[in-house]
Amino acid sequence: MRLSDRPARVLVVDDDEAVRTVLSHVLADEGLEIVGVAGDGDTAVSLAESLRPDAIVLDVRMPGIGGIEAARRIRPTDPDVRLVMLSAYDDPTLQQEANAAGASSFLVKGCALVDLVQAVGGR
Amino acid sequence: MISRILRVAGDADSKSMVMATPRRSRLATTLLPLLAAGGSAAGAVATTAGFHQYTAVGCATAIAVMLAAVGYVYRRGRRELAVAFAQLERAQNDRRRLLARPVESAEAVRSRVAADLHDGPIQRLTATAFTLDLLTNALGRGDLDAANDFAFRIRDQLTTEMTSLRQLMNELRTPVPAILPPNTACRPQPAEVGYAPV
Repeated sequence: MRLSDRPARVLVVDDDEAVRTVLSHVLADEGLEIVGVAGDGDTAVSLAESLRPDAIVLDVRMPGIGGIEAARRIRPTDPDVRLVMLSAYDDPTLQQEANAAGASSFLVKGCALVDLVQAVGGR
Repeated sequence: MISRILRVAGDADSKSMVMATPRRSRLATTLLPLLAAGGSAAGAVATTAGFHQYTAVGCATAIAVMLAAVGYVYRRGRRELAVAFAQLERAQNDRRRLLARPVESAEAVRSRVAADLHDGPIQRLTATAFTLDLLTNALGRGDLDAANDFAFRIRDQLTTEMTSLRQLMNELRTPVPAILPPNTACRPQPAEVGYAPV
């Protein structure tokens, strides 16, 4: 059961360690609870199933199955989770693919922090 | 008899034509029996018209040989044409392959550069942007020690990124043309362009 008065539990997924670390740090700084981090799509799928986070921030291009395929696999197992795609590519086709895979929102890396926090459901 | 010999010869030739061009070999096998039959018919007509039997046979033989020669020349021409077509087709395929090679190489380089930009500068700058957010938050809280720490971290990240970009830039630089002798500097010397180094 997810409570609205507690901080959102977030899983951060990015293959770049520096981005993963600073993204976790900045989301925690915004009052969100980081429940796990992953460096590839396969780990993200298994952690999503075991941790049941409220939101997952997913990089699109990663080794292995990648963010879009990970979203496609996670969505049927958890219809309520917010899947936030965070991509380096500002590509409408990629965005459509992400939406079709079940993504809740699609953000380009370098977006305003407030947009990211809002997409994750922090405030 | 002659027609039989010609028929056998026509069959043998038609087999070699089948290997080169099946469609043309059908034409040859159809044409040769007709020519041979034409020779025999001419002989029969000559005999019926009252010519001496040997004259008629000679006439028929001459016509049959002449027709066979025409058929041979025709088939040989078609065969040479087929070989020329095959050579032309091979040459065109080679040309297409050679033209496609630089395009494929350029595409491979472009894909590699795009991947390098994604994995390098974009990721580093993303981290830097988030660190700036952390700096802003720290300043908002009045936590100057944390703000100072984030500022130094941003400086480090930018320095690292500039080094990485410089390396990529060097890799992308046009290679020295092969026509230059070894140890030739590709940059113009100050004396050549009329200015002194700073």
